[in-house]
Amino acid sequence: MRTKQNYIDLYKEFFITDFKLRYKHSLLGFFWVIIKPLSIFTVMYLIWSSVLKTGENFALYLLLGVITINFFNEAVTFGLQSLYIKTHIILKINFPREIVVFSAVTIATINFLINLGIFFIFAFINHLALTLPGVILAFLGIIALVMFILAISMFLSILGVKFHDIRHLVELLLQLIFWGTPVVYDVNVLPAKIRDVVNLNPLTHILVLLRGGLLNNPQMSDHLWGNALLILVLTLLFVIIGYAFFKNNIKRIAEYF
Amino acid sequence: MDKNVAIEVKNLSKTFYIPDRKRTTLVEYLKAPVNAFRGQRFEVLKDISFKVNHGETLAIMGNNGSGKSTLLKILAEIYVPDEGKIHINGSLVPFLELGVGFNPELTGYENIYLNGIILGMTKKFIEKKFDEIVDFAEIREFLDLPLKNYSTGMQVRLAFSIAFMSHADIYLLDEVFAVGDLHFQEKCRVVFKELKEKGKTIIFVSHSPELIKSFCDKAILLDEGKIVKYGNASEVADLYVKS
Repeated sequence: MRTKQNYIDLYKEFFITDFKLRYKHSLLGFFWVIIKPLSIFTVMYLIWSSVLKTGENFALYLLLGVITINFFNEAVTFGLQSLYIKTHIILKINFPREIVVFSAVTIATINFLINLGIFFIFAFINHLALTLPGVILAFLGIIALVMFILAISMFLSILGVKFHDIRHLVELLLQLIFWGTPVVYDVNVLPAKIRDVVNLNPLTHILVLLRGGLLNNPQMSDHLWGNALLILVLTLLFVIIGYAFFKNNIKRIAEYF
Repeated sequence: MDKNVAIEVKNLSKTFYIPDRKRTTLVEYLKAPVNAFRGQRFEVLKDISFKVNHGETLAIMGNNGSGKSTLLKILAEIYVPDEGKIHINGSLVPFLELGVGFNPELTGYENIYLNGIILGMTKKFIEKKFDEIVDFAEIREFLDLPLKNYSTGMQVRLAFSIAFMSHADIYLLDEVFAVGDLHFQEKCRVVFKELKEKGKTIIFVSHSPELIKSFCDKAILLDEGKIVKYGNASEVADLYVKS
């Protein structure tokens, strides 16, 4: 009989072994976690800072954007594959399948937190002043982001097993979302029509929270708190719907592999 | 339900829908309304009923494709039945395969924890039983090597030793005895006997009539998803040999 402790152990075991396996036999191993976003950041910085008229703190602004969108891409991809890559186990034994999704999202979240650490090191070097309310606001943003990703993964893990095209579709969408999120640019410089589209993207608002909390402290506007609350409520709702969808579809998933 | 009953299966049926061409891409799904009902319904199990009491050993026999594995997977709650009811009284551990989750890149040490936890044990429990597992498998000097460097025999021994540690009331075994050399098969029989003596309920799939005659109380003979005969193990085994 599985106990609660077994569920916790299973969750840990899955993400620790998956993490280990990901970097086994690679020379740089674990450093790939930071190499990827940092090199994307460097290239983008070199190009955009020479093309755009960039404001103060553009490097940190861009770095935070790149780290965040990289997290989103990676986590959604892991979430999508989570059930599929565990086929051999799922077909042999019963356990709460959501553990597989949780552990996939956890791996990406840990990678994100490590990169966020790098961001803080850069911020420290640049004498960026952090305030407690600012950090709290960013923290709320991160929670919303993780919930948003979790909810998406609940849908995609199931759909990825049922329809194999989803993988290609997601790959495409992730690239489109990259440009539909203000990673490089500022939403306010966009023409109204395009801005409306970009504002439909939840990632835009989450990124505004992160940057508002960590970068624009002095003029951190109060309306961001209201936004944070609204985003948290909406993402929580999305998680609940995602979980219900997952629970509904998981029972027969073994027949689709 | 009667307290003595470990597993009761009533009028169980399972149908797999096999499309002419497997629809796994979106476009094929969008076209689905047109040809959704083309394809074949494949009734894997038809109206299966049986009862196993605590401490009994039930064998499931039948030719390949007769539905044995599907039945086992339904009992293991991997597949959901379409019709019928299943009551399971007590904890159940399925061994549809030995060493579920084993990863060739991980060391023997890491695989013991991975496999044990997948089987439902806690990390703490494995820590306690670790030496026992390693000694039974006779692999102590290879613990830090990746599993891919193990011989097949060593892998099976390790998998079996971990499986043997799990505590359950009901065990599902899918032709596990077919693996390993004679020495290992002998070891398995000893373990099997021990489980029986401890009063565990065992359901297992096998093709070996003599094994069934010597170990099982009851047996089911399946053919094309239907129970051909259900009853005393040696009678069913004899019928299987004749057919």
